[in-house]
Amino acid sequence: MDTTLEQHEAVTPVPKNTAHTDTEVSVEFASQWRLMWWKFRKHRLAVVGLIIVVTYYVVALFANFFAPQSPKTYIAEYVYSPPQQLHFFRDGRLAPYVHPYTYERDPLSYKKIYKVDTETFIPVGLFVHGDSYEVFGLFETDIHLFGAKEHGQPFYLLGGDTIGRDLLSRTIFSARISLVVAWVGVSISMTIGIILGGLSGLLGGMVDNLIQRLIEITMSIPTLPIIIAIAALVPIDWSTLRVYTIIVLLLAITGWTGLARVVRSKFLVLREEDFVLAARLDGARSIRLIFRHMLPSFYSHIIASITLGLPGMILAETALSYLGFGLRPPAVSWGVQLQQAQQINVISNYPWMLAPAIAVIIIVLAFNFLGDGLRDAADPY
Amino acid sequence: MRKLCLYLFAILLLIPFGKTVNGQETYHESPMLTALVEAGELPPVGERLPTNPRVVEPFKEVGEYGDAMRMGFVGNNPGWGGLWYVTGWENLASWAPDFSGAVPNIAESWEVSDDVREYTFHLREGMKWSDGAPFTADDIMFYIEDILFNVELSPAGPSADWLPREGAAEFRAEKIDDYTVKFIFANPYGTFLYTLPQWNGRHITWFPKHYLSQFHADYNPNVAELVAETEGAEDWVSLFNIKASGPTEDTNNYFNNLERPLLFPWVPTSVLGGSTEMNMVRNPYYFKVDTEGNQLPYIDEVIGVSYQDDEARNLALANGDIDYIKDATGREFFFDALDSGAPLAMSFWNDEAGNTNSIHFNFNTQDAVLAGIFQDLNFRVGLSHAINREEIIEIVHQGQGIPAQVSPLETSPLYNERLASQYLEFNIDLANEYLDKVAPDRDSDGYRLRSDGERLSFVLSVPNSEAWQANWVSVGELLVGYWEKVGVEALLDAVSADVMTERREQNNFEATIFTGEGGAGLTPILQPRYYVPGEYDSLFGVSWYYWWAGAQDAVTIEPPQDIKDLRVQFEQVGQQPTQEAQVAAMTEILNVAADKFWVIGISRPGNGFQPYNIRIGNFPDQWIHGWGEGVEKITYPEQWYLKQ
Amino acid sequence: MLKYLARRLIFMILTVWIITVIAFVVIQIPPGDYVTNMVTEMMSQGSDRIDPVVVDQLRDQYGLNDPVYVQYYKWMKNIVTEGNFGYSLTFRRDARVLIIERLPMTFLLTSSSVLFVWFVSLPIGVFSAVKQYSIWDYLATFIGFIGVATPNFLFALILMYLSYRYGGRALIGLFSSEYVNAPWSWARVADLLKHMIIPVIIIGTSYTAGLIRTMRANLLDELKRPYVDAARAKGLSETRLIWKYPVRYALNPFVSTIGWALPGLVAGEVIVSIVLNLPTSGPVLFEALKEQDMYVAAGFILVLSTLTVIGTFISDVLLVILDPRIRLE
Repeated sequence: MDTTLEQHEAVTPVPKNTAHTDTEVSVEFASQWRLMWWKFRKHRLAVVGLIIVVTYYVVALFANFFAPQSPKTYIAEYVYSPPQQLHFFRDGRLAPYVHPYTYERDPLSYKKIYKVDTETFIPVGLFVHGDSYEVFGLFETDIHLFGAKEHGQPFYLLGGDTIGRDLLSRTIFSARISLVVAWVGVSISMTIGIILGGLSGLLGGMVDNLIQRLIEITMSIPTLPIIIAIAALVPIDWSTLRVYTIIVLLLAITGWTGLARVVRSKFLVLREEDFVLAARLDGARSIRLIFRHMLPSFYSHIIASITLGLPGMILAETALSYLGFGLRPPAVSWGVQLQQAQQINVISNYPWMLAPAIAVIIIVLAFNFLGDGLRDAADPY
Repeated sequence: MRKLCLYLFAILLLIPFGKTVNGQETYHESPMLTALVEAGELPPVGERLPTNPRVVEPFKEVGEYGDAMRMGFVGNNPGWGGLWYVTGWENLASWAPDFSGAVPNIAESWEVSDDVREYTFHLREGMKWSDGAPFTADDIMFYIEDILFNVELSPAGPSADWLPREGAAEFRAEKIDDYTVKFIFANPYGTFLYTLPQWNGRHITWFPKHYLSQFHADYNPNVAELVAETEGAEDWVSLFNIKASGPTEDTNNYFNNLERPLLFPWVPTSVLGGSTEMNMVRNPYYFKVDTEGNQLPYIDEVIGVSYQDDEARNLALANGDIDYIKDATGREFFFDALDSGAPLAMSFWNDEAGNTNSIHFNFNTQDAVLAGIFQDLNFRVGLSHAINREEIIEIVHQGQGIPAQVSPLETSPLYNERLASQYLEFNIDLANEYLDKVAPDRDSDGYRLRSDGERLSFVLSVPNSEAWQANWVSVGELLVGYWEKVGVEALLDAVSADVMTERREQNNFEATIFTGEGGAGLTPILQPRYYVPGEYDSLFGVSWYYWWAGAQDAVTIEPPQDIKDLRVQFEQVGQQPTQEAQVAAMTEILNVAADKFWVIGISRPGNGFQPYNIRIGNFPDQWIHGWGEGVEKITYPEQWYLKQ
Repeated sequence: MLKYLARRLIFMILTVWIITVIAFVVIQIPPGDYVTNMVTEMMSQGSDRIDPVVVDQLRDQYGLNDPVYVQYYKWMKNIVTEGNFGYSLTFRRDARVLIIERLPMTFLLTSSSVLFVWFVSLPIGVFSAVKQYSIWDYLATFIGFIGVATPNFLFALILMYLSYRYGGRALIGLFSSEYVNAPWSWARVADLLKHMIIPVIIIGTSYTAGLIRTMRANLLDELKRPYVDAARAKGLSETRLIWKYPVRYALNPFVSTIGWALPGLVAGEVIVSIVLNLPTSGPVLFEALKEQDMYVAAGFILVLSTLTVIGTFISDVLLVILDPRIRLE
């Protein structure tokens, strides 16, 4: 699990001297960031990745608005209901609607057999009134981007879950926890990685040796026992989110080694450079030296590393849920949702329950492409 | 050569004069054993069977011998994974297939004194352990005298789950002759016979003296040598426990000790470990025959296949890779598979349980104010009225079952209408009315306030790591929603079963959801956990239980006098000599349970399903399923057979 | 060189020792112990009377009432003096036997996965570097990345289901039932290979992405070096040009995989093995951790971490041999 995080950044020399093409002329006048952007733009998949990532974060931030329903709202009749088909035109006019379902139960298997009730129309619209919610604790509203025009009518574009809640809404809400928690984890492991890698590269000698050994030990210790230990240790009144944050911290604590090695090798080169030497002679303390003088020279690499570390965290969240040590209901995350889908019974009968997996695959791909592009662009000269 | 001739002569002699059933037929055996008999490795079937073997009537037809049945289980423990229920579990008595009562099994017959204090058991003459050594009254006496009453093996005094705590030290057993034992209890013990077929009765015929005495200090002065050479043994007591899988050791560890003699239809021949499979082979000395004199079991071998995850096991069954699994999940999947031609057959079972779930509020919880609220009947009644049971049935239980409290089933002589149907109505106003008596004030969010001004909020711990707990979290999520509507905040806390065990051992939970045993027949007496405090699973009074059980920990709380009196009153149920008297006495207890309303129930369970490979013959189409009933054991797996 | 090797060796032993200490302590951190677990298991089956007195007696019997350092000391002493890894409470067997039985299949699966990762990511990596920003680059990258993006357990579950639904037979485990305990034969090998396809693909694909990315980046880097231009000027064919030196140098990360492969793949393998029911170390380690069968868990961690440390060492040495530009410090 942890290893998806560190992957192979450790041994990745960053490409240098990328071919200069049509932008050659203006290069001399462009800032570094602009150069990077030009370079980045060329990686089409990375641009797509960027758009997707931004979209995800916007949707997650305003989940209440984008989701047609609250993640708790349920209709008993829509347990495991298949996705409703969205129709746009009615009687030749643009008037989106869905049909509700009626159902019977198979007398032996108890499986619900849903029938589309084509007689009844549920008008669908933009900016409709639905479940009310608070916006950042400031004011209360009930406006949703889209949904059934009449509050309380069934609107299940991705189908219903185990207790008849809207899968689409829940998948949107899941993005919140999954994306935010991943950020926390990655930032922490990056910080540790930079500080320890930096010290190791900068100071060398005994410190370097010690940190090298620490990296080796951390890489060889399986994280699984640690996670299990922590999961069992937490007090009963802790919310699952808090528990999970602890687990993420642990993943972070074990996941810093990759970046540390990159930073170290970078610093080994950098410390010989004049400006560092100058700062040193000037008496700058090590940490200050790292953050003020040396890091800015390869921010881009760090951004790339963060981008590439995030998908590992997101996947780790689903994996932990599978093993029973991740987030648990009532928390809403992709892992929790997929936990309900990890049965042959569900895969064969209610495959739409896998929708959160699609969301995971897309964002992980997007992060990877984005990171790839950033890395290509990292050294635009 | 001469020896072989002798054997052949003996066999020739024996065939025409073989033992008979009902004085007419000869016994028959599996061809697999005939080969061994012919090779001289085994005595003939007539000598292996007791003079009066137990005759089992096949459920559907007389079966065929042979073949290996593959059984899938999840985890590393074949016994608990399901093999104990199918290949083990032979006690003095067993249940009749329709659960109508205890019938003779290892015991050929028994007599009970009028005061139900003395039980005389007649064993089967000539019955043998799986290694061929005779099984006699000495084995039972070895258990009673050298294990139960041995101060080192039972340091806390004689304690067994078939022996009432009250008067345990005065219990004694007498050997009348090699095949007759008499049990004499200190107090009347009218329900003893119901204990015998159950898990609780397993130890009585569990300990082979001829094998185990070598590990017993009283019998083997040099036992220290064996201790030294045995991995994991610290002293002779732990050595004995390891080798015997008892008395304190988990019984199902016998799957790890291949040399231990057993009385079961199949005995293990390989252990689980590197491979994902373990093997069992028929016990040539098994003491049962069918109506035509064929020695049981029909099936020659059982192969236990270990899975790490339920889903692979389900697929393997649908695939035909394995023949049987305990606790199948995914009803729709299996019926689909059946329709699409998977090699499956389907059986249905009626759940023993009186309810799908019991909701416990921990009266002993460490927060005194909360404990006070929990103990208030109005609180529980209010919350019960706030539950929309029809909705839970629709959402969680696939529309099966009817709303009910935890109570004996309608078919049971113990059915108690008040207990079953009180406080069932889903009525928010009524719920609020009751709750207003407990906590009328509310905070700005609409939640009720406790007497100390804090929000009335508790943690609802829901174990959800086992397959059979799969839908409990859904129930929990719905409950949280219902109770929020009446101003009570429940915080859902989904935990693994292990963590939950830890929490109950430390009295570190506020409310929880558990099973609903104690529905069918007399099971409310045998499984009284939700009708009277003082049982391990009476989670509403977890520290009271620890007080009765004599735990030394800080978690014990002495129950108030009326609860103690109730417990004494319950102990008397088991002392009643006749079933009528037992039912009458238990009815009193159930009336108190109705008054006290210990736990909140949801609904009666719907019917269960059991898929199995179509080649298994003699599996019942309909059966009663419950722990007290022996789960699979009540289907007599020894008479299952594999169709060619 | 010799001095370097000796120093590394000492550090390796030290590292392994520290890992065992940490592992042993961590395993014992969760409240409760093996007996708690046993009680849960009995209870979950319906057994309704578990006497606290008996429970306490069991703890004594298993030595679970000793302090951690005493338990550690006993364990270490037995390993060092007699090669005795302790006793599995779950299986009632020598922990060593259990570990040894599971290791061969783990190795087989891990090394096959590494080979798979190499075979997939080398060509894709080279291809997408040479054809940078072409549609083929995107397509190759996309294919390489799709595996890492899919949660392993789901991937395994779905493939298992599909093999049942459309292949006529669910590929579960590493052997068909008739071969599980059969002696080795060609038929058994064939059966094993058939069953290894799904797990190798699942475990492998979660690592191809990283290696493709590294390969691509390194090769791009090498391709811009003057010697490439020089070779091109000399008229070397483009294919030879790429494969002769740049690819060779860019291969370094592949060598490094030897080091991280084991812990990485064992971690990835746990979930896949649980879903697909493979007889490898992963599930046993996981169960042992959950059930707090501590000697088995600690034994596995000891063995795996030793192998990891050795693997890292080998890959470091190989790197030096393969790429003279890396010098020993």
